[in-house]
Amino acid sequence: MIRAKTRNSYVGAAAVFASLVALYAVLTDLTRTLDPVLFPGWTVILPEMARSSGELLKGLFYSLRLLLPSLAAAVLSGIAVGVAVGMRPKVKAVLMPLFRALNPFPPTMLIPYAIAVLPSFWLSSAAIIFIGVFWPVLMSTLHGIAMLEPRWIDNARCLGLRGRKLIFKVILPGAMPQIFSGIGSGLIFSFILLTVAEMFGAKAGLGFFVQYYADFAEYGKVLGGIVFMSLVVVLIMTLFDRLQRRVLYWTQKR
Amino acid sequence: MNCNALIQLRNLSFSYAGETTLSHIDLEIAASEFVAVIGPSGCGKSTLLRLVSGLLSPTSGEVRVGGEPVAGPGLDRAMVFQDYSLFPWSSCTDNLALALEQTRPGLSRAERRQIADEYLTMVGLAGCGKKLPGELSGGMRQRAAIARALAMNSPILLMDEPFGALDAITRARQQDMLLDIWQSGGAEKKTVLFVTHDVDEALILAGRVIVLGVRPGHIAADIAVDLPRPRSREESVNSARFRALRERLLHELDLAVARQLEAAQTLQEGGGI
Repeated sequence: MIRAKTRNSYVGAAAVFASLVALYAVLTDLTRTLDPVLFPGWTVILPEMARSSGELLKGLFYSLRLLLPSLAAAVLSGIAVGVAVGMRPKVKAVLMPLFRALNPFPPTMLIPYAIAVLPSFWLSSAAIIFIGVFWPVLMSTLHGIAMLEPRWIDNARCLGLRGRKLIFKVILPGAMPQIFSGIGSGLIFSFILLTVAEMFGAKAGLGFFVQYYADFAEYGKVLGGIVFMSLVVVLIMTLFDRLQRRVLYWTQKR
Repeated sequence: MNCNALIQLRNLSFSYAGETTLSHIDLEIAASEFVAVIGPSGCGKSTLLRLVSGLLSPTSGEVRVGGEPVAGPGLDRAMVFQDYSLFPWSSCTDNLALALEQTRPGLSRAERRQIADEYLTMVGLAGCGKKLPGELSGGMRQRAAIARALAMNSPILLMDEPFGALDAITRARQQDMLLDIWQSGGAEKKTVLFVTHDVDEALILAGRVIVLGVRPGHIAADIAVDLPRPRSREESVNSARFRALRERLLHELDLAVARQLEAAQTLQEGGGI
């Protein structure tokens, strides 16, 4: 039943996607309504993508080498700090105003400092992505813990659960729906920050690829890079969705 | 004062946000007693149970279990809540296994799971171990909750309206099951404190019924249910003694509710313009 529904939604999404691709083909290759230099048609973009496939794959490798460790570090430390603070109401009361002030601060503003202070490009870009993902994960973990149902806590107390067992058997699973929504926002933000970070000093990566060829006005490659990047983002988000559905399976069964 | 009582409440009072929920409760429960606590809503019967469980601390007075003052929840008191004794993210087997891990730390993972499944089988849930609580009906969930409480092997069972959310037929089945399990408990018969708002349920199950009055909650009556054991629902319900006890309990509850209404009336008049 659920599988059939999922398949239907995939079919729907694919149909919308195909219509957009077709619309672009009509506006470019077929009718030449759009400026052919800035908006080359699929007949230009696809061969360019094929020609640059080696470069694109290399770019993907560099991008993921930056993205994945930063993401993992931000998610783990966001949850860890969230649990450590969220379980101590007094500490939380002291830190919350600080968190509220720092949370909306755009990490891109820190780029000059990251470059000046940190020894390598990789580290400064990783730091920017880390900060961008850390806050939503931390805030959603705090929120998730605050929203834990009192009856789960009663139940845990009756079972004498403490320390690590309390955290791993009750607090984290109970807060997981909120934590996942925080990771979701962090993930989307991380793609934006990745490309921004790659535009200020990278020698490789998908953001670098797009920026590099834009400088030479090679828009076939630019759009090819953007299309490739979108496909990668869609793939990562789909994997994330699957993981989320699996971990949060119980929320559909309540 | 009987020093052999397993659960002792001494001059127990509880207030929250300026309102006194329970006032000067003195109650002793001997080992292996099955005691039902009944009263109109708002009489503090759930609060009483939570005080015994240690989830709440009394404002004054004390709760003693086995002679020791209660400072917090303990594994000697297994709790069955109305509809949330199991964690919704773990399968039934895992829920029971987690409780076993707490009460019997020496067991291996495989042993815990095996024992969990044995208890699930005992309450008629064989083969349901892999299901999440949300995948079971309300009645099945309560059975799993009871299985968990029994698996913990605690001498005391605290039950907070465990069948309150179930339909009449399911409720009757669950009562029969609980009665069977408790009556066949032999020497290790558990001490049960059972909160309910259902007069028949109290009489079918318990050997003693405490009626709580309101504003503030106090013990209005302490009635021995002298129906023969082992009991069956049919024999009990059809006996003249059952009907007499039922009349008496309803009368006590009527008094309590009448007093509650009176108090509400006074309050309204007093607070009027």
